Amino acid sequence: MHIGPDPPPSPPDRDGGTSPSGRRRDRSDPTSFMRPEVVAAALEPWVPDERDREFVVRVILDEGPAHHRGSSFVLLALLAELVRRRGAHASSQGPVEPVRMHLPPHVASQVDGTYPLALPLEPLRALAPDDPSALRAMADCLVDGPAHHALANAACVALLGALLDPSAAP
Amino acid sequence: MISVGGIGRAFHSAAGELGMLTTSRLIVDEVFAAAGEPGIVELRATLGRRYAVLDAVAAARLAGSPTPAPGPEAVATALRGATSLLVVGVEADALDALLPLLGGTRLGVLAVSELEVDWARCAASYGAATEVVPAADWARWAGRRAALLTFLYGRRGAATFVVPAWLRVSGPDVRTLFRTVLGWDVLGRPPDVYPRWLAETTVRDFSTVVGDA
Repeated sequence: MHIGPDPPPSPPDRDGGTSPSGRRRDRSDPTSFMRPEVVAAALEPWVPDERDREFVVRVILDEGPAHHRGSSFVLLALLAELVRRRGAHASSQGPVEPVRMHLPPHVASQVDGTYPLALPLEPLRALAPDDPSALRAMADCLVDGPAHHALANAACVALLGALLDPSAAP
Repeated sequence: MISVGGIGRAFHSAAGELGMLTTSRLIVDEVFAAAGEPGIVELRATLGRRYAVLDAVAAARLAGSPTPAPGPEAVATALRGATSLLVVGVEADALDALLPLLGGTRLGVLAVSELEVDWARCAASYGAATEVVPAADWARWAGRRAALLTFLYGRRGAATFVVPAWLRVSGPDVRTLFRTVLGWDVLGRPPDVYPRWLAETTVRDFSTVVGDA
């Protein structure tokens, strides 16, 4: 525990930004290039509530190992840019697979333990148009694992779905 | 003349159910009314090293600074849309100010403390609907619209000081189970002495920090 004079303040972040939680980002953070607002804006069609969106973006970009957080940002930001350049828009709602929180089994049925972003299943039909069991297995893979991983997968598939939707073609 | 020994026992008894800051404010107010600044100086010299929050509040009084206002509006804004709120630690002044702003949010108080607490009596003072939550049941309060809150007793850089009970529930996995993990800095300044009844953690525990830096 440090008791004494305050340490010198951290230098300002190069983009003056904050994390989704409003915390100042440290320049020494290897993921200081992340811009949460880019991911938040890209996910708005799927997660319209601002607080819900902050939650999803926080889990993707603030939780988990730095290389996961940074990689998720890069991939989602590139997809968001592609969606923007293509003028694509959110796919129709369609069927989804919930992304579940990792709660103790005896609690999971008692609380609303799903994240506000679900995995859209329609884009996966491009890979398994007539094979429900394969589609099921793909969905299971995508929503498995740590929450930051599963939500990043769901966000990537949502943006890919917007790009794959024929009605969104320019 | 004040009985500092008696005040120490009173502080220890009250702090569990009212909170370190609320109890400090009450005692500093009473001592100042009874014995003025010399009484505050004696209080600080005698009990300050044992109770860091009391020391900070006494120091603020000597410096002419009022005890920081709880600032519940910013907390209520941060909690907007939450359907449940689990509070770790107790601060009566802060909770009294916050509860009227929460609407229908379900409220629970985690029954973990380093001090002796009659939790049923403590929860009852915040309304009949307030639930006492055993430590093992914290996960029942998680969820996509759930919030978790504890009180911060000042910040120094990224470090902050919390009741030790916070360490029973905080962690990277827990941050992913609550939409809002809120640290409410009710003291507004880091303690000047070693905060032996508190624990140090970092602001990274929280999705949102509210209160004066």
